[in-house]
Amino acid sequence: MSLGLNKLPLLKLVLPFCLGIVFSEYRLLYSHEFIAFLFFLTIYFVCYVIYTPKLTLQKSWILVFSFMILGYLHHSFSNPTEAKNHFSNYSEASFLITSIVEAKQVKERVRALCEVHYAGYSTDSLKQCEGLMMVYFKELSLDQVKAGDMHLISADYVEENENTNPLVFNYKRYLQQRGIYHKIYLEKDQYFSLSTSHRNIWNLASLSRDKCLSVFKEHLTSDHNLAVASAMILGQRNLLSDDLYDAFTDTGAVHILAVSGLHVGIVSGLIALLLGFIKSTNPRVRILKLIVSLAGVWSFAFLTGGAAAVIRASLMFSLYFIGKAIYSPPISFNILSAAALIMLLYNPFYLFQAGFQFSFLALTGIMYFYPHLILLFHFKNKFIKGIWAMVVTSITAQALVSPLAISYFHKLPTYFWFTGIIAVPLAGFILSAGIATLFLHMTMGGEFVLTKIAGFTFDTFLTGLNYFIYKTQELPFCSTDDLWLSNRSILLFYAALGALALFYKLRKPIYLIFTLGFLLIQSVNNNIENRNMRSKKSLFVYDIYNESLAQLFRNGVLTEFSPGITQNKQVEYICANNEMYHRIYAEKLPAEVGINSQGSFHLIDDKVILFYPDEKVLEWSLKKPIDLLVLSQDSYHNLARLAKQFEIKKIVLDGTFKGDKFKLRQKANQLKIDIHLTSIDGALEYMI
Amino acid sequence: MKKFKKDIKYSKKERAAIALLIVLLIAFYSYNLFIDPRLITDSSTICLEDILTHGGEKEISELKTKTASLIKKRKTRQKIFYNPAPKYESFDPNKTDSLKWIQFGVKPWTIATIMKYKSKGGKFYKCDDLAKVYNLPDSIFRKLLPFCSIQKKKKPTYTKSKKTSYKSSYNNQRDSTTFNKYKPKPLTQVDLNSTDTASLKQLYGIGSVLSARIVKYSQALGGFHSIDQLTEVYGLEKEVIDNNESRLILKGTVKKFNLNSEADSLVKHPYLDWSISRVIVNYRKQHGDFKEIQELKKIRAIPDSLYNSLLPYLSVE
Repeated sequence: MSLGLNKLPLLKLVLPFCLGIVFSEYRLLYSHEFIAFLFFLTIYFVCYVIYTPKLTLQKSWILVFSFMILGYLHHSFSNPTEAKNHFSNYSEASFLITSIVEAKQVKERVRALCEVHYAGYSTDSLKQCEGLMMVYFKELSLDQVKAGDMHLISADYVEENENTNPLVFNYKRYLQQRGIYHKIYLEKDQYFSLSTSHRNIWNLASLSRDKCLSVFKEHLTSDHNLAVASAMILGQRNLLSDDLYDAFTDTGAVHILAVSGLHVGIVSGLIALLLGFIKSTNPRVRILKLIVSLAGVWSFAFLTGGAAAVIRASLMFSLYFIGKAIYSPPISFNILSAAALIMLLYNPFYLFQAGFQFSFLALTGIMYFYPHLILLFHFKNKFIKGIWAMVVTSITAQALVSPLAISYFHKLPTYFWFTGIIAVPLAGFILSAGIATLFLHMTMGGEFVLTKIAGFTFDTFLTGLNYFIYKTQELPFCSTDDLWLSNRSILLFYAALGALALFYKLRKPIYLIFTLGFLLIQSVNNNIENRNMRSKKSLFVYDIYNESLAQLFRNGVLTEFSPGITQNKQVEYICANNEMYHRIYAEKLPAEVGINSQGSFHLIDDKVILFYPDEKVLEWSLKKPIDLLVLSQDSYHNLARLAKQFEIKKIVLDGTFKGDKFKLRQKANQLKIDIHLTSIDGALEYMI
Repeated sequence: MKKFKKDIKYSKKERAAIALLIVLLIAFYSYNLFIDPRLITDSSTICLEDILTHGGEKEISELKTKTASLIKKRKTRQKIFYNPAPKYESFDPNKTDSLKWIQFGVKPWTIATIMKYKSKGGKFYKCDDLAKVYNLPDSIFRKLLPFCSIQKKKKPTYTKSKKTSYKSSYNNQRDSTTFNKYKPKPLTQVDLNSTDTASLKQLYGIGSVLSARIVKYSQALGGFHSIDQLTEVYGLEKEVIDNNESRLILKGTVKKFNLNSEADSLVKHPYLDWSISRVIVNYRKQHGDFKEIQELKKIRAIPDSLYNSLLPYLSVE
């Protein structure tokens, strides 16, 4: 039996295109000469395909391979810093003129994503340029800036720092995938605002969002309701508190907060409902209705900031209805592939965004597995049938998303199938009530009776949703936290899902055996990984700017060494992934794990480690050499004296040290002691 | 396999569409690479007033002034960062790091000299010693002198302190006797007459060169009878001796030279030279064996100071 790929030409192109983008992202064989070679190779292939008769299979393979090369080239050419008029090529410029794209309050600073328009050498000599930059305005509040505001700034910008601690989220890469390569911190006397503003569609959308938010504030009674409404309808999640966001994540309802295909579907359904009153068979009226639907959907997409998931849904919606109008109802997977291809042609970095990945995986899961799973049970009652359909939708969406979600968020919600039954319909009511409130407020005013009723309904639904989410979070075993999936595990899970998909398609038991086989291999792999991690004995000295922390991982037990108390968010953020990776099941004090300690000296197995000593350490003497000496800003760090008193094999200086690191390194080299500076060489992993 | 091949194949129309798409993309890349004026370094420039949508001459003039002021501040900031104005504060030259020296306005090459001197065991015992630093201009020395403060070292007390500044919660739980293998020892005393260079290097201010000199001198002398003799070791400052005085002991007796039988060997002694030792030998030849050491006083070539120095090392048998 055939896989049916002959009916999915775009899918056969999208997959190699994605592969090419991945190769380029990880810089496989990257060089300008190689890119030039690929460029001309593609031209040759196209000419070969056009001018060579017959050989259809060979030509098909060549086209597939060409698309992979195109993916590679497209990604390489899309790097904004490669453009000659990127502002970083004007490093001699005295000032830059920027406009704000979006802004957020971060403690006492405003963090604004700014677009650079001009690089100036003097007021009479400005060059047009482009590029994005993250700007931190000190001592500024959010109400003093808005999207489109232009500033003239004169300060040094830098590239985002690489976080050198193990397994920490790569924020630099995250920003680079959004085209942001530089950042700048501004004092008050390093910029001033210009009276002119930069207006484009995104700025207008941002201003519209602010206006909508002010309307919501008038009708909603609590901060939580406002935060959820802002996230669901306007795509802004900065008002969500940590506990509210955690509640949605734990219950598997977080997809409601991220504007996605669900919301676009609800909006398009609303529009269809409103336009349903216009009943006409005139083709022009039908085209007009289609245009109004598309305009409504795309307006919603722009209003919510154009996130990847929304763009995907809007594109698919548009392609489906246009395709339906022109031709016979198109095949869903072709539309999905077309949407993916268009988005990746627009911006190949979408491929690496979580929103894009989840959106396409969820929809692929629903489109592929839903038709098979829904047939498992037959219900006559429409209500129960509807509930069963929602359960199946939740399960099929979660099937392909779960491995990746665990990889990103390290947790798995247990009741996602249940919250889907309640939260999804509620989300539909909330969206409808919210849009109705906005429409009535802007047309009839806030005091109009219908506006107040719509606002009250909107607020009630939001209160109901939040209450339901919080109550579900209180249920036992709501979510399984601290999960860690290695890349190998993720591949095995997806291989199992792929084999299951083939089984559904081809109905051959061998594919079911493959599915079980992959799951078994994954189980064995997981056990081996757990065992390996737990038997590992290593000491990590982290690179943290204002905290000193060393962690010992030994047989699944974590022991911390620190001269101070380290319970702040920043430290937890830096250490969390590393702790999960090492499969920690307990945290114990050194005394409890049999570590021999005396003052700052610790005997860990047969290694002598001296943590953060003070000057009194010179009163001691040792028969054995010190295997590792850990120093910080506040510890005693006179290397000459320490080396005279003790034989030292290795020194590590943590991120708190603000003194002359290079001199210290020079000193250590003179004393022939190996030295590791975490602020330069990264966090240290020392094997015990 | 046939079905798989069928799955992979494109129809003629599909191939044409895909080829067209590829051609369009290549054309787009070619345009961006070779033709797009945005991507070619543009030599044309515009003025600030061209980008302002509104604003009269006065506002534009204000804007230009503000911009000039902003640029000037940026350049000043850069200058301060790389060429800071000296900031003086109380300091101990033995404990000052390179960043502090930069703050004082000392040039990097002079700082390198100071750091190298300290790394070799060099110390500033008084503030005037700063003047001896090679390449330190007199003007900077005079500016630094009022802020210089060298604390005299207290004699170290070698009692083990149980209190540590380590705030970790587990510290208090450990009993000091459980870490038996590494019990803290008081700083060891050094017997000058039986020591080696390794033990001497444990003393403050004594490195490999000085320790070797002390050992060599001790062997040449036949042992020290007084700690003050250490001042005779070349390069060993009195302050170093004072700092380590409590750790220095003298055990055993010195090696004595028999004036009657080993007078010829006296020339090797550091206190004597060839002429004095010849005088002693000749005196013995003329007057017979020495009956007592005080007879040396009769030799005019040997002054009282030399006699007193030699006394512990001499015997008559």
